[in-house]
Amino acid sequence: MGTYKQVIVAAGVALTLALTGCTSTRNEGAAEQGAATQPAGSGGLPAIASPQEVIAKSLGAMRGKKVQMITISGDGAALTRAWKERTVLGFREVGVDFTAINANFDTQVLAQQVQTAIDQKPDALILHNADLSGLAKLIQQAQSAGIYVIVLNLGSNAQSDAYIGPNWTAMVGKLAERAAADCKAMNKKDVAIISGFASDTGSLLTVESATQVFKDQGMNLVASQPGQYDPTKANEITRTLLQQHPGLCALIGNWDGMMSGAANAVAQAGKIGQVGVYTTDSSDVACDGIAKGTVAAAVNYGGGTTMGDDAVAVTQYLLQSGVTPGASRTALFTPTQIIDKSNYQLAGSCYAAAAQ
Amino acid sequence: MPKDAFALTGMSWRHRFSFQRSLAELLGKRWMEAMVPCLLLVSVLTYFGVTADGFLTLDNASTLSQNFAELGLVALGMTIVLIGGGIDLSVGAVFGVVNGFALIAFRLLDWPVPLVVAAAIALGALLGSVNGVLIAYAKTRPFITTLVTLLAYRTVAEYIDTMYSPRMATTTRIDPIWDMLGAGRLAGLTTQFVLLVVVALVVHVLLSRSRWGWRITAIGSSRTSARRAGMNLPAITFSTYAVAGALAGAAGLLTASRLEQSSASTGLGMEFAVLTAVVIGGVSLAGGRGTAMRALIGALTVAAISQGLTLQAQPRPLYSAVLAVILLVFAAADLKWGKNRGKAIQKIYMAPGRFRLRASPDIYQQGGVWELNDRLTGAQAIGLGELDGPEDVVLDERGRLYCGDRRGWLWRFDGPDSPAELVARVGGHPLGLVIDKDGNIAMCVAGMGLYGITPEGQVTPLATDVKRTWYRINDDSAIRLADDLDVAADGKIYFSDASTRFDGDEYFLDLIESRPNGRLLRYDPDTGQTTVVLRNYAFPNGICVSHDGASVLINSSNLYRIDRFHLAGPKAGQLEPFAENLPGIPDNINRASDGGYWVAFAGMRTPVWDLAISMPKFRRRMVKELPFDEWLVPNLNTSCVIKITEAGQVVESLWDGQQKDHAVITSMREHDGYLYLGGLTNDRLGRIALPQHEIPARAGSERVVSAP
Repeated sequence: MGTYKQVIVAAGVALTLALTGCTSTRNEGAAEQGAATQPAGSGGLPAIASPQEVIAKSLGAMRGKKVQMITISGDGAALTRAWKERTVLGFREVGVDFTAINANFDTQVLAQQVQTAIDQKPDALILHNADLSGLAKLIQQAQSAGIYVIVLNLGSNAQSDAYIGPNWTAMVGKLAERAAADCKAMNKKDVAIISGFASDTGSLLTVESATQVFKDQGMNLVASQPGQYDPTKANEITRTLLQQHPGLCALIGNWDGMMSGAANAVAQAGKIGQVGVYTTDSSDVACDGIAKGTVAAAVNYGGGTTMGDDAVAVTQYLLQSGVTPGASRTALFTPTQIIDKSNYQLAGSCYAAAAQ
Repeated sequence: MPKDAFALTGMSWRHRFSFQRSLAELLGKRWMEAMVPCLLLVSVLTYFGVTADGFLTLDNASTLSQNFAELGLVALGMTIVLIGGGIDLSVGAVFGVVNGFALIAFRLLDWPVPLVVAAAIALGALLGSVNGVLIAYAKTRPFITTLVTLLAYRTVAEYIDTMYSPRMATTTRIDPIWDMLGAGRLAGLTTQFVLLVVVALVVHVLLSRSRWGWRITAIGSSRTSARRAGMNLPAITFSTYAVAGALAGAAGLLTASRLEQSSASTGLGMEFAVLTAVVIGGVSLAGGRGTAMRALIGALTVAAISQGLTLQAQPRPLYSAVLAVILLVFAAADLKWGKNRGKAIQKIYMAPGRFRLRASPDIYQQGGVWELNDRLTGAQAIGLGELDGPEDVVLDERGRLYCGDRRGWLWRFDGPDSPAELVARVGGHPLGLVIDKDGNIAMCVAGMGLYGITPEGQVTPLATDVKRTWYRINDDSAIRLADDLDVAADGKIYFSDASTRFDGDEYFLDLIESRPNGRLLRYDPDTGQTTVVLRNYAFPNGICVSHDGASVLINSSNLYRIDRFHLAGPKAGQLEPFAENLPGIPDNINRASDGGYWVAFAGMRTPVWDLAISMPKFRRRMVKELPFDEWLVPNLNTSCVIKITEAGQVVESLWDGQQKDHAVITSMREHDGYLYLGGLTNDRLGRIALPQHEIPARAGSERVVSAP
């Protein structure tokens, strides 16, 4: 019994070593090749160039480059779909080899996907983080492997080449002020926060900012719970809160996909108009709620409208710039606008992304 | 090199091979169960190696090894529980809780890393112990119990996430040991992988070599038997869950150090991946079957599927779907295999072959040597009422009789009229017997081998196995059907091993199969070594060293012939026909006092069985489709004894016309003017007086001479 197992194991190990030994050199070769064509630091364009030359040189610097987007949110989320729609379009335009995958809200899977992506050595990674520290090591690993990292929406402790997303503190502060004002108008004080994961940037800053605003406005924060970006969970939390706190006037949370669950709970309890649901992001889920009155206000921070294009633009910049990956470390903030009954029908307020 | 006797069957070389026989023998191998998972693993690796760009790279191998290690540790724990007849659905939740706890201890509590490691594994063991206490001592059902603890632990994981994740996310701590655990390399391999190998070796040794491991297997195989054997069921069952928890905890710790993130979803659905892994590996859900190596093969398969699909940028749900399909197929196969494997092997184990036989000689001629007579009728009965199946009989210098008994005994009679005296209990049915000059008995014991017995009854095994033939699927090292023997002039014992495929009590199955499965063995008393001198011989039965000591005569019960194997002289090592196409089934052969040989026919050939021998398909259908007692079998109840000359000429036959007292004669021995008869299924020995002219020592008559 023992011998044949040893033989199998040994053969497997030998095979693996042999195969990996053969192919690993190919990657090194590719990296060297990339370094040769990469303009060093200059941005790749000469000081004076004709428009035709600009097109030829810039596109030449990007053609065939590999970019992968990995998001924690799944294809069920309008946000993910909108990003994918815009990035696919944008990268196709400039000849970049682009793929998008998602971890469907499983943080372990996200880590595996990012690690796997790094192993493949693409030129740039666009990540949607699940945890402030979760991908930190991997982001650093990617950068030291010569991969640009752009982080969307939810930042990381480890600074990427670029963060693109809202200023969560200001955005949620604005939304919380609106909620407090609405509560005051109803002469109520009880408010609650439903965050996403416990430890992602958006949720951390949402809790911090909203808590501060509510305190300043004299509101009574009765609960602050993570809804795991899961509408079912938000629904459960809301139903419990509505029973425990009859005086509840506002529920604030940081994603409309999740807060739609809270809005449904409010509607089912027959408390439309008495309990307001406030959420960031403004996909058709939020705007449908606004139309029905189940959602009091949402925030358009460009998530589904402009952020995908922003990601393409920044990636283009990085790929052409010749900047060493990990050297630029910038944060780019998107504009935010509160959407409610008064403006939700205006163009650009809400977005919808087709199912894929 | 043993001499090959296959040619005697008259068949061509391709008849040496049988797909059915190979298949049956392969199915009988324990390692065959591991072949399917191994093939699946190779297919998965090959498939992704070809289709997933970047799968066969060192970086990917390292990432794969990390995921494999964490899954593998949990799978090892699950395997231990499953072998013990339980199931642990809470492993994923334990994994998640320990992952969170380890991060709290490391980042928030600032514990030294060794303490974090110890505490994390201890916490895993504690959580597993809760399962253990409930299942082993409170006697709750494993499935429902661990399902409940799964939910409970998942709640704990969510609580940890809610309460501590925000603070953990904003705390950083760098520690070399921690980094070594999560991202380190040992001898070029990831730390996780090295740890997995170490743990797997330990688990392997514990499961296969320790009392604890055997007891787990015993309990998983049959709780009732284990309890009756006096095992402490609760303690052992408890320990399996505790160990599974500790291993899940260790995996959670590794993940914590690698990803440094605590999330409510950590370990979510892991029990599904782990169950799939172990079931793929062939660890039975029914308990009692599984090994550490199998668990790892399954875990590697699952990890490779996960990694390959990730590389191909496939949507994540596809992974779950693929696992679900594989789990379903393998769980069903596990059930079918476990239930029907034995039956399937039994149905196809016997792979009937074919011999080319000539038509049986006509024995009904008036006045010929085969004419029926009553010379054996009325033989004096010896040991009637005492004996059961004395296959052979032998006499020592003092004229004492020895014979075996199917109950595994050896009897002695001081004289034909003396009472039976039990010499020894051997344990197996003694067949052929021989006495050396010192009065020691050597005998062939069915299913056991060659044994020696002193006159005082001291039994010692002389030969129980030979060197295995490396290219045979079936292990042919054991001597399964030692049948008859004789001592050569140099003291070496030549004995027949009638079948390498069937055991002693199944000798007739070998006759029905009709393949050359037997061999002639030689035991050297000086070295204690046993070697094969003749192989692929069809049912070698009686063995007799010739009068001049230069050759050995071998009876083939299946080919109805006697061959001479030369020991000395110019033909040494050669096999030569002695008597071919006999009309009966030759059993034992012994020297006669007149220079010829006595041969016992255990039965006479019948035209219908001769026909059956030429029709392997018919016999295959028969053994597959008919119950055992309706089989057509060779005739083993019309016996006679014949005298054959040194030249191989049959000169006379002795019959019992009544066929009552000696229904089957398998042996005869001449001594002092008497012929003693033994029979495999008889209830006595027989003794007849030989006519004076057949006893040259007394009568001084001439040797019977016949033309060659």
